[in-house]
Amino acid sequence: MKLILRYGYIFFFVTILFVIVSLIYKILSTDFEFSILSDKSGHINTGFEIKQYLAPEFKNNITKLFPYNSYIDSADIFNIKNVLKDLDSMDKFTQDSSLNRDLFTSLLTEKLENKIENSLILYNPDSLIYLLQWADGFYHFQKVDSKNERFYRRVNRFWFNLISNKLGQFAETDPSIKYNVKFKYMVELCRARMFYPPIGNSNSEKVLNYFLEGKYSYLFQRLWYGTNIFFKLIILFGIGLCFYSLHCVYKVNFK
Amino acid sequence: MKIIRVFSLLCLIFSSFNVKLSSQQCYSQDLVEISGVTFKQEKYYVITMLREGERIKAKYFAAQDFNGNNVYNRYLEWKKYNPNVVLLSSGTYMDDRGNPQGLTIDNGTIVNQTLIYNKMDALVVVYASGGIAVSNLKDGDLRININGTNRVLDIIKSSNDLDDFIEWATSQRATVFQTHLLVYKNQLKIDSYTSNKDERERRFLAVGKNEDGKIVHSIVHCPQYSTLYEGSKKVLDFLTTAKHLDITFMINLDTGAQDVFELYNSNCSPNSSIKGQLDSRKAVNLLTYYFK
Repeated sequence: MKLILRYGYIFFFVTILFVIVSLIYKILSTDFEFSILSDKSGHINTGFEIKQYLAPEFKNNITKLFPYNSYIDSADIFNIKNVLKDLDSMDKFTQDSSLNRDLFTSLLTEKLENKIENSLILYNPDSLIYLLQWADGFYHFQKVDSKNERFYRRVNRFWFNLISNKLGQFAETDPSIKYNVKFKYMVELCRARMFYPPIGNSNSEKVLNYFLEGKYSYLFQRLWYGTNIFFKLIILFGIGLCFYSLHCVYKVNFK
Repeated sequence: MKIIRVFSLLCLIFSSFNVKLSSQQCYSQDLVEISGVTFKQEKYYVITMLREGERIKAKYFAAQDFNGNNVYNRYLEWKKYNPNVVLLSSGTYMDDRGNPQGLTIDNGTIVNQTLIYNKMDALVVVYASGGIAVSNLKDGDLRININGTNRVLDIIKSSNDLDDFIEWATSQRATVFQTHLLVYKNQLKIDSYTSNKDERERRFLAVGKNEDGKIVHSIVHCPQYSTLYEGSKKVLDFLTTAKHLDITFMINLDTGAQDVFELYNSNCSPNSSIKGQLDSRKAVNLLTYYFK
């Protein structure tokens, strides 16, 4: 009997120790690295001139013949001022500003995505932040340049939508990145522009939230109807063990 | 003696109030049928609403407004002018902060611009006329009329189409939300592998045509716990076999942490055959059907 009491005592402290170590591990494994790259737009001079591509024979079929890939590879597309300068050259060339804006929208959305899609497969926060900051520039431009408002809005909407979806996918694959500072930064930037990434809570987070919100009856109902018999037995065993440990501690120290 | 007088006065007031209640008519019983049906050893509660004459209408509250009025207060304010409510139910899912998931526009106001690409294939448009239309996003054939021109949009694949759709919805003061598409044109659209495995009560909204070719909106509540896939499969079988419904679409109504549901009889009294687990005041979005 004494042996059982002693083991119960030890078990109680091992359980507490396990919880503390788990929490410490969780805290230590969270990435608190927060060195957001500065906005580099305006600092690169690629020497690219769009005029060299604007041959007279392109004029009537510019959407098909425009060298999309060469432009993405060579021009400084992450500098919005450069993009606007090229758009201006295009306007002088084709005399059709609506067509040019549609062409540049396609260029800076789907075509650019196709070009960089491989770099978006894995979670790379620095690349995503760079893209997000660039796309956010279009949000600000649309407020002051009403002539190109639709163009800015479309590019901004495309990238925020894409990145918002990507954040949801990354969080689903690895729920722990939700607590990373860079990830949180991107989520908040998206939310500020009314793009809510589809990020839900894991089952354990839900249990904790319901517990903190005092939804005890809902929790009990979910446990009772939504789990199988083995899960219920494990929970029952855990609760029983906790009470038994407390009983042992009480018996050893206070009786 | 005084006590008896007061008591009889109270009785008189109470009975006259009761008479008033029972004589009140919220909706026509010819258009709304509430029933409990057992089919293949399973219980289903069904609310069948006929859209004939467009007297039964739908209204969706997607989020709190910019003045900070929460969804329930917005509903109460709206109810002052539309008192004949048939039912109210929680609608689509919310994220970890209580914001609606997927593209959401509430009466022309953008709530959430994120169009979820691969999980929620139903784009629901609730019109001011009270009708509901659903487009299967995977088909890429969302039909709208922009400035008198009929257009077919693929809002997942084309950023221009998505932009045009959002601008159209805001200009038309439309209400839009995204949810799981479970059945489309009588075909099951979810699979058992990728769908949520959690077991819980299930509630669905199915829209289709009955045997007489009339448009019917049905809310089906399954109290028996099941996964989303199992529940959808059973209800598809139930509606097509037992109710002979030609289903245009069936979507999921959230019965998770924001499970809100209230049902009213034709005399405006609450019907307790289906009840949400949460108080309606805690709703983060609400789908309402009413009679006008």
